[in-house]
Amino acid sequence: MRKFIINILRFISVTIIVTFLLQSLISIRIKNKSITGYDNWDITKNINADLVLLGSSRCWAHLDPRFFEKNYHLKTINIGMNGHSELPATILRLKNYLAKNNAPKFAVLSFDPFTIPGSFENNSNFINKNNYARFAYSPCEENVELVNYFKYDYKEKYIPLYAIFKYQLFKDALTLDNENIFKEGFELNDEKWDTLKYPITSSMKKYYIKHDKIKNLKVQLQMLKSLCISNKIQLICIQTPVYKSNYDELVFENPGSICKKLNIPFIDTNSANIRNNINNFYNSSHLNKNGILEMNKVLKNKKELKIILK
Amino acid sequence: MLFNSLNFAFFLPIVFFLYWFMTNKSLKNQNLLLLASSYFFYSCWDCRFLFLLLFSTFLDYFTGLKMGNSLSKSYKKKWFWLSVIINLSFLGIFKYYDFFANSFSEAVAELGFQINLSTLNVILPVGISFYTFHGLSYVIDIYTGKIKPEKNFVDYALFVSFFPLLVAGPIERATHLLPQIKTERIFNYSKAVDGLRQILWGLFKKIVIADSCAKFVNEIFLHYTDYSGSTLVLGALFFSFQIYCDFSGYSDIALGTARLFGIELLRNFAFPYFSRDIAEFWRRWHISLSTWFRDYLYIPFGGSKGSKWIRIRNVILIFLVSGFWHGANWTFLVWGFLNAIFILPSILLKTNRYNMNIVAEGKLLPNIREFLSMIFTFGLTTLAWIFFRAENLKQAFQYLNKIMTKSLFEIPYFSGIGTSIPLLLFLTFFVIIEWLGREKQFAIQSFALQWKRTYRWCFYIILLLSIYYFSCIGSNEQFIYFQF
Repeated sequence: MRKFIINILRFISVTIIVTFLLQSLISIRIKNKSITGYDNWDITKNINADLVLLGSSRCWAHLDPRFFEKNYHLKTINIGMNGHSELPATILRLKNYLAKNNAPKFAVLSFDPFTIPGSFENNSNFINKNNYARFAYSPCEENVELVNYFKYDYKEKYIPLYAIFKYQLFKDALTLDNENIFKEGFELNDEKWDTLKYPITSSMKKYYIKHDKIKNLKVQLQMLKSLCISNKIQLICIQTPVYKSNYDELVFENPGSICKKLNIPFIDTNSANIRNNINNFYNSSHLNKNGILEMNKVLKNKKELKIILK
Repeated sequence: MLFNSLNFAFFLPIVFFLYWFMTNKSLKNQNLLLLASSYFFYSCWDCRFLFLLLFSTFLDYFTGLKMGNSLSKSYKKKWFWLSVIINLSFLGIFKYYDFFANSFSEAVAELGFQINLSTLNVILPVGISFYTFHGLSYVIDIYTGKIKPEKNFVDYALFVSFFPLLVAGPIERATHLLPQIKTERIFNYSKAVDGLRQILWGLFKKIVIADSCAKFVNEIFLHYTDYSGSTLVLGALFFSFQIYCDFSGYSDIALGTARLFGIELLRNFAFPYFSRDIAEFWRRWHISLSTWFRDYLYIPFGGSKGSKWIRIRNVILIFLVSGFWHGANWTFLVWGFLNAIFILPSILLKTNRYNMNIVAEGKLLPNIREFLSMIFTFGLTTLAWIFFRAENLKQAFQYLNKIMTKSLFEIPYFSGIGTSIPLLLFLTFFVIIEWLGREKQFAIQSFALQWKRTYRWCFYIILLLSIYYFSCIGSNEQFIYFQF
């Protein structure tokens, strides 16, 4: 019996060591690399950009860092979070960036009627949780807040390999096949809108911020502004176009008036020329390459932006 | 409590520790502990049905004693039938009442009458088919004078309720298990390690192979009208592996667990997919149930003795009952009938005992004839499994019809086919290991034993990590045989 117990304990110890070792090897392999394209929390380390682009997928898809670099000679990085229109995600992502970089001079927030308030403590939007799961196990200090925001459980945080296995990242971690997806932090989508597959609807209107949430939104936008001020960052908000079926003049005036109240510079690129042309979109709320070029022309002519960024 | 759950991973070491260290190695204490653990194990599933288990146990114990004490044959017979009828009534009510009520209503409706028999819609108590058969075998053995009634209630209750076999077998015999329960058990290092190895292999089969196959099987059987014949063949093949790995995986865990407590359970599987004919397959598949039916149904009905028609009747009867034992559905009956049709030629031609030993014994590879026989037998069983897996007969026939179209020659495709590549690799690995270990009780019983400990442990750790990986991503499907 003694021999049995000793051997069992030995075997369990070896297994645990191997598991920890494997987790460590994987962590070393993927350190400062992206394995899904979306998990850019670490690859944006030591970038020390002058301008940071913030927001959801509309920031991710619309705001091209190369445009700002070329026109304003500012080193730019896009840290938009696909699927996360809620401001707490943006605030936490900026904090995460600041913990790993010198503070930029400017932060541009993609701000429109889809931008909503959220909860830091009880987040319920878990889009891309699988893509961020590589950070769940034993998170570094800088990532703790974002890891908590995505509510990874104790097994994902403390048991080696569990999160990597559960979210099926093992193969990606080994092969690094997706390492170079979205390397520029910007999704330049060349597609035309396939209206048969994705019919033209006004369904995105249901995601407009509800009237009763505007107060909360202002509070959280003020928080973002305060964070920027404390780091000597100039915050600028830019509204980007949507297709006309999702457009409502009154609603699209809201972001401007909120910014005005909070004294945040606001640039509106949602011009009729862009939003009325289906060739500028790959779906009802995202511009394609053509649309972005059009939007950049509008942006380039915005004197206010030129003044701030110079 | 499932064998593939974290709860069991805590439960087993605790019971093991208490069993060997806290009972002063007293047989009475050990049996009491095992019985209490078994009832706890069962009540973790649904404690309401613990009373049914207790009632069934007490009934067979009591009737056993009464039969043992009876001086006249008629008195003995009366107690015997009382036990049989009550046991089968419970099984009938919980498992078959709804089936008969619905089938009767449908049959009457065909004749133009309307009859509304209310169904019970009760949950099937887990393990009822298994522990009822334990009890029945005990009562029949006493009645036929094979054994004497057990006087110690704890020992008898443990025979019925021993947790490794309680919910999905193997179906034990009093002649095999009771003597072990009544004999002092001494810890045996090699047996315990062997037990752990068998548990490991059982978990691998269940979590890595069966649960992964289940994902694709569920998809293909659910949307079978959308897929090509070749894809449906692939679905049926995946199901063959799923059901084998699910059930034999469970049996391996049960046997390995029992071995940790110094108890040997009946072997339930002996590499059935390496069979060269259907008769051999049925000697190797769910052995404890097949032998149960053989001993308590087939032989009493005359077995293979008597006229040709009696033999045909007996074979069909045993397979129909076997099908019906699996569940109250016409699909199981057809599955049983198909197997009867497959096996009949060999019974009638008396070739059913040609292949008694394992294929290619002592050799690395089979010869061409053996190989083709294995493939043919596997094909027949896979065909029958389609009925076993289908929700109803209509689905089964439509599934088969779809296979028999020219789309059979298309390249298989189904939603998520890309993710099946790791499974195919693991299946290949699994088949190789099973083949290499086919002369043993279970595939990895002696596999890697001659290797250095470092390499051997590496092999076990790889198995463990695979289990860990698939249990993280898998659906943790319940064991198929729990529903029976």
